[in-house]
Amino acid sequence: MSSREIMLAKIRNSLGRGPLGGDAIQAIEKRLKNPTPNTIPARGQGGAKERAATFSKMASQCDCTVDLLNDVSEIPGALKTYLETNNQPMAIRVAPVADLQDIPWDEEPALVVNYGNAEETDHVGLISAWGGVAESGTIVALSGPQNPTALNFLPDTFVALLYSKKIASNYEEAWSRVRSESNQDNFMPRTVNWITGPSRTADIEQTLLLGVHGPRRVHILLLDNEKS
Amino acid sequence: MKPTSANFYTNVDKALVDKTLQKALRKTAVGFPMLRAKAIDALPEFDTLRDDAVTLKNDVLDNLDYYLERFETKAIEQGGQVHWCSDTQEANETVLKICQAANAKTVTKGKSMIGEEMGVNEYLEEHGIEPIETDLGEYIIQLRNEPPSHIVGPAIHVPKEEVAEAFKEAHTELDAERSLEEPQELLEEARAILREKFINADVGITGANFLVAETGSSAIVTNEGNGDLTQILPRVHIVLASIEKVVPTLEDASTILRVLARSITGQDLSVYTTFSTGPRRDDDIDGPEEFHVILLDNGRSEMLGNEFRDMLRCIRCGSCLGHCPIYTTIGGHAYGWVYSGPMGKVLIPNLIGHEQSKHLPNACTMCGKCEEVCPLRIPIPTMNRVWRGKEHEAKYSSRASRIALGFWAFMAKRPKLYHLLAGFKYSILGKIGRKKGRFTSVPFASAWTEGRDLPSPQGRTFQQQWSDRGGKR
Amino acid sequence: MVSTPNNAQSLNVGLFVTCLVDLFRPSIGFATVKLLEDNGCIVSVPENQTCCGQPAYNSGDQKNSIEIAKQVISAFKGFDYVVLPSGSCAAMISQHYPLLFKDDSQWEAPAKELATKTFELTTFLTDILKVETVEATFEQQATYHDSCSGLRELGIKNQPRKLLSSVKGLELKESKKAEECCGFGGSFSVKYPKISERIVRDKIEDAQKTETQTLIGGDLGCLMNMAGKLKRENAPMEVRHVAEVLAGMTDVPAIGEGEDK
Repeated sequence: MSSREIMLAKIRNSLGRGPLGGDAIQAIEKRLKNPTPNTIPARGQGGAKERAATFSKMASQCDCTVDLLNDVSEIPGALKTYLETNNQPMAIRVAPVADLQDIPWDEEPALVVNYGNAEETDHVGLISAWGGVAESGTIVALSGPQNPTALNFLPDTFVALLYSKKIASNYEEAWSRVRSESNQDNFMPRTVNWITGPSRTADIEQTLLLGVHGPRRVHILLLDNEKS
Repeated sequence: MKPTSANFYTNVDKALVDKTLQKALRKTAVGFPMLRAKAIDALPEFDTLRDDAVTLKNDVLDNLDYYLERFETKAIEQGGQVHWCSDTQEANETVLKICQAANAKTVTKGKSMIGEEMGVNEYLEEHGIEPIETDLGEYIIQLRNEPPSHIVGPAIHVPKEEVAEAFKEAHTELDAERSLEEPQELLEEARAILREKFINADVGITGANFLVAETGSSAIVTNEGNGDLTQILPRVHIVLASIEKVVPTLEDASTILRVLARSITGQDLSVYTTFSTGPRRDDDIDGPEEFHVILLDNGRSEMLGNEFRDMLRCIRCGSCLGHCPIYTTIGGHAYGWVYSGPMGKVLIPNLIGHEQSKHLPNACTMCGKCEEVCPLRIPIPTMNRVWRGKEHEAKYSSRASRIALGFWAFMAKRPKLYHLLAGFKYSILGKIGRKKGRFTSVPFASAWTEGRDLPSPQGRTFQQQWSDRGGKR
Repeated sequence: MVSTPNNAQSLNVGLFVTCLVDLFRPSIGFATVKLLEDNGCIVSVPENQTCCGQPAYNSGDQKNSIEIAKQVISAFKGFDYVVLPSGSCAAMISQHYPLLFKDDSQWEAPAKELATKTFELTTFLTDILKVETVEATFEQQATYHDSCSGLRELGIKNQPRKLLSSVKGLELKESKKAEECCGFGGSFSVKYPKISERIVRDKIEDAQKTETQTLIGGDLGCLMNMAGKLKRENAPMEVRHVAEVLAGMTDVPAIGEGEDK
């Protein structure tokens, strides 16, 4: 017998039954194919404005900085100011995704924009977040042809562009969107990252320090362009 | 690692006189409970979420075989490989084979309690492969060659001076005179050293907080981001997971995530929560080319059928440790193996054998704090009592304590004799002790009087006085 | 003598005095009787009681636990209520006896019956007898220790505080670690005396930070542990059982204090 068979047999023995039968399997499959949320906290729920406000509040509480913008054209200027304020180099590594490529970078010639995945020498990374979750101020990033995962982790400074309309109230809403956007049986991308603040540790004498392996700072460009 | 749980008394003696450990434990005892309390105050639904988590984990355990097979099917559909391993030996061999097939020289590791349970580092080293722990705490204890003293803060017992010492000893390529006094300096050095290791590693090993049956995904939470660099950069990603880690859906994982970090660090979520499904896709820019999941049993399928089944709900949050009066007095190493604290007391005898860990379930005041704070409401004191019952039956307990208990029970079952003897003995004790009100040393009770006085009896027993007064006060 | 019921209640109450109170501090037992009688109960003390069996139960000695429990169940048949001046022993009877006789056709029902009518003293006074105030004076500042079993198994928290707040002259100040274990834990305190000693050391440090004169609690085991440590450290803080304070019977020396002082 393989270990697989032995383990399954031992589990069933402990459960005092053989393999599950048709009805039981149907019940479980129903649960797996139509996942229903358990309790969802009230925090984070509300209209788009409230969700954006909760998101900003929660993200700030876990040491992110949030810049509220009204138009794409504001991004280069805002980013330049942020990098200056934090003494960061003006070279940014940008995910090769259309909405970031469409930003009028020329308006800030000081910014050096390179598209592609993060390299060891990159100090600043910019992604376009797939979404956000209001209840905990969490950024959601999905891996894909235009979305390298390493960009979320290697640079010292992690900047995420987030459209406020992409902020879900809670994780369950975000999962529903992942499922419906893919519309396939196997809908998960290779990596789903939830990012809630900059990298941190308290492993040395329980002292909280930021930036142990991942980014030392997380900056969110929250774009409310419902008007435009 | 070789367990030292049998030497519990010696371990405790050492821990109690270790000043730096005691200082660290004091911080732990205050810090974690305070953070948890604050987080829970901010989430009115916390207790309902706990109930949901209990219900869903119980469902998982009831149908564990099905969920595991379902997880496997989905993981394979997306190009992953699933390896079922009955014990740690088989799991180590499997990991080694995967590493050898990848021609691995170095392996980076995210924090994994299953990896600790397996002793996978030692195993890989023995076979010529260099494992590098990347969680800062785990890296520190790896350099010091010791087990974690806390599930969530493996190196909380190490003062910064000793971290500096370990770094100077290990990082010989750096200037020996460099300053490593501040935690920030230590962090910078670890960041730089480990960044190179991440980039050069051939294989990355992580643990799993969940396996999701719905999607075939594994999920980890970290605060440092080391788990992510461990699994994105190398060519091969191996996940070490025990069989009870499976949850039905992403919604279920979300529910548990809401109670996990809150229970220990007080965060709404850890900084990085990452769901990984299969290897990188054809058009992905990065990610591992291979995705392996080790499913480890190591005694858990038996626990599923015995009195310790509820322990399989444990999500390794570490909340019970910082809230336990014993853990916060003796620290993690005294327990003598990779787990510690209340959850360790129940788990360790299951995993390494009861006889050599028989002290652990006894080293508990039954205060019930662990069960009170456990997000999965695991009845830890009840299970400690079960172990004590097994100890009593197996006669592992000391002869002296069994004789004492037997004598006491003999008396307790004979009220007349009991009252006669008690009346006599306590009247005398009362006469001797009443003036001072206490004894500073008592034969047969030296264990008690070593560190505190024993209040003396007032004199005649209640029963004597009550009967003297004809059943009136 | 039995006092006249003052509110038409004349409940027949069996007092389980508990072994520690019986042997070490009968004054708690008499204080309990007084409180019950003052509030209209008819109190009896069955002779066939020794201990609730907790030491055997927590040592994993199922056989003796069951035998002792049977003895207790038989001894306390026929009362309206059974009251104990201890949260820990009350929890043993009300929470654990039914588990000991699970699926025992003969004993499960009587165990459950006893469980439902068994109460810790302060809970019985406030929740069953609806007592709001007591007639007692204690000119002290004090802090209250919540014993673990009572707190976590029976939810005893506000009941003693509510009653103590009606004691004339008494001012309660909460300590930070009121809900933390004192390190007693029955046989734990003698099996692992060094750990126990360290825990009680922290506990009394915390209690003394309230700068009150008295530490009050509802379980004699914990109180003996804390008093023993306070006395060893020559600390002036005194330790008393809640029953004594509520009954106004604080003329006897405090726990661990001598007649000579």
